[in-house]
Amino acid sequence: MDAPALQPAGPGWVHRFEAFAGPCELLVEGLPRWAAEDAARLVETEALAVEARWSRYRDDSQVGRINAAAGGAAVVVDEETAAAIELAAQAWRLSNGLFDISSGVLRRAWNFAPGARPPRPEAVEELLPLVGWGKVDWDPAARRIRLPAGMQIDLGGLGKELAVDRAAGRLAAAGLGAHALVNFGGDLFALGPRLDGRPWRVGLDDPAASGRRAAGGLDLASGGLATSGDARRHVLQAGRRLGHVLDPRTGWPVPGAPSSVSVLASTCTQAGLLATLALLQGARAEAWLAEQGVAHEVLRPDPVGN
Amino acid sequence: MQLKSSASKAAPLAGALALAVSGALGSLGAARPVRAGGWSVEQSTLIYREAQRVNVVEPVIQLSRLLPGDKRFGLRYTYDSMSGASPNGVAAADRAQTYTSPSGNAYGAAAGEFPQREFRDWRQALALDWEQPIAERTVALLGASASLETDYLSLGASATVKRETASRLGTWSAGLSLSSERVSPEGGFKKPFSAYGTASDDEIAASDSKIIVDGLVGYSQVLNRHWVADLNLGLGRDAGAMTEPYKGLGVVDAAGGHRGAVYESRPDSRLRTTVDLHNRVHLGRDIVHAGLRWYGDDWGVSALTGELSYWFKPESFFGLEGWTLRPQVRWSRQSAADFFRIALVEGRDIDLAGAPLVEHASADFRLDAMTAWTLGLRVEAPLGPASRWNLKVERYLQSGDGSPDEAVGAQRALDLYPELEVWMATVGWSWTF
Repeated sequence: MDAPALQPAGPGWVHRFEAFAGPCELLVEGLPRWAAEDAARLVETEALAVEARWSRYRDDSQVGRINAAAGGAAVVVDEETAAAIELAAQAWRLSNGLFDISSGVLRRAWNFAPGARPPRPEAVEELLPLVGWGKVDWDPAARRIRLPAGMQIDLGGLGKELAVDRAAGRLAAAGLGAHALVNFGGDLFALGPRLDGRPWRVGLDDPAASGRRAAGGLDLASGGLATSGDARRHVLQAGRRLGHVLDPRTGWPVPGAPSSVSVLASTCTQAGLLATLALLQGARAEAWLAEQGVAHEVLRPDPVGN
Repeated sequence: MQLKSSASKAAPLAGALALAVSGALGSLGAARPVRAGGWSVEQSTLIYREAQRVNVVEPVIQLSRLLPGDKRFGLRYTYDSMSGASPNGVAAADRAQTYTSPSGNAYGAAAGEFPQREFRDWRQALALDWEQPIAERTVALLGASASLETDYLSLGASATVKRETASRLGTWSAGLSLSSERVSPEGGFKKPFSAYGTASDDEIAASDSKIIVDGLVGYSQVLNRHWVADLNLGLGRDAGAMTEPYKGLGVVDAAGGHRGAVYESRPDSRLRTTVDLHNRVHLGRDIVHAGLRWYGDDWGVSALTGELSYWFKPESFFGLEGWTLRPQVRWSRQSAADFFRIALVEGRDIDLAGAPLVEHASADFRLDAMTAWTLGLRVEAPLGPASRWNLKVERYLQSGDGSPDEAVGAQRALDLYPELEVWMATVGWSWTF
């Protein structure tokens, strides 16, 4: 990789690049340019490596190979992929099937484009046999996975958050992370405060006006922050807004789901899992997060539905 | 927008997920976050031992805190407890020597040995420092210090400004420090060249003082991603009471026979210059520090010191994650001050009536030509998530010419340089909270 394009930002540097279909950035302070370049290189390399490994759009990725072999022979995956799949498997067990990396198939029935209508119930019924981690043959010790025909897995969201934590871990190991913030498309990890000891100010997207303005911000001095939810996607049924979050067990949107959930946790991955699971709790999201005892922010759609 | 946080009644899922995540992140682990605005505390204890001579135990505690706006505050307290025997300055002689200390205790040395005076003292020192940005890429550091012993008081202040170049690859620094020392020796200051170590010494002043001014200009440059070099130039001037109140020097006759001892005399000013070049080279995981320092003053002392240390991080070899091993070697060679004398020779340096024929003279072996080696090893390792411990062991060996050309007569049969061997051990820990 050539020297990363760094821009000065306050008493530090910002490195911006594209990965995971969105903007990513590293903010570092208290480092000379060459060290900030090393940091940028580590972070970008990690992001691109994770993306390449787990992209479901690439036939040569680990996930691409698994999906392509569905219904055929078992696939042996590399150690990192096995660790991510095992994490997904444990999250599936712990959440009683609510967190499911095989639920992406349901998107074939659902069209979340503006003005789209809900699918026929039969269309969803037809897909349900192809959803459910319990149907997957997974041997973590041998790192062997075999999907039944027609099934697919997607490590997208989980992969991005793991990449944030891994990139942060690499920065810390290299001694470059005293004052650093890793941000992959809104999933973040702060390794430490800014150079002056103040926390990083993190802007939150307002889901009702996404991309247009920040709904506000929050202070993050250390730890992970992840957000789940996207209010741009929704389906109207009889003038009523159906949620965009699909329950993998029913194939239908979870009623009363917030438009977005942000969670603070000790890792970005944990924050992301908790945010996704909170979204799937629907109307109980806030109560469920309170039970988990984690700092969080829940945004709900305009009740009129727009 | 504020995040809502609530006390946990039961969080089985969050906890179990955290465990699962740490499994998935594996050996890489999640980065350990650094807390904002916390205190950091360092405590260390130095044990210094000169063979057969001086023992020093020096505990130090240091507190520092990073404050909003890039400001930093630091405080350091040192307590020394010193005991043992210190050379009184007079060289070994061809016959036994006896002296009376200012407190009236008699001591002496056999022929061929260096007389040493028993002592016991303590020292307390307090230093405060403050750092804050004063302009873009510019930081000011201010310091104040005080040090107190039974017969000594020092007060000092310093100011340094550091400025990074626009590229942030270079840093200029300029500093000035000023300190005032007041020495009130037991028995007072004595008349130079008057009889040393007798019951009735001639006191000329109960106390005296000196002023020390130091200026420093430095430049540090990141030469490439592996190499950082620092060059520092220092100019200092000491003025006032430079003569050591407890040091004497011997008087010998033309045949080298011991005749007695007199109080030493040093010039009342000293102009010092230092040039210090330091390099840090990062070899991937490990770091090499290499430095060269030249010192010269208008007393005729010049010294060259070379230093090399290797910061070895052995994690991948022995599973010692977070450990640092730092072997270190330092070599130094110094020339003698113009007025250094092993002893005053009657008829050459002092007349038979005891009137000096030289303006200044001292037999303090710290002003003699010498070569010194220091070998050390420092180990540092984590003690917990926010704490580290360290241990440093050093051996210092100083040697000089035991048969110098200036020795006369009977002196030629003696070993006139007291070789010095020192062991130092420092154990410490640091903690951030």
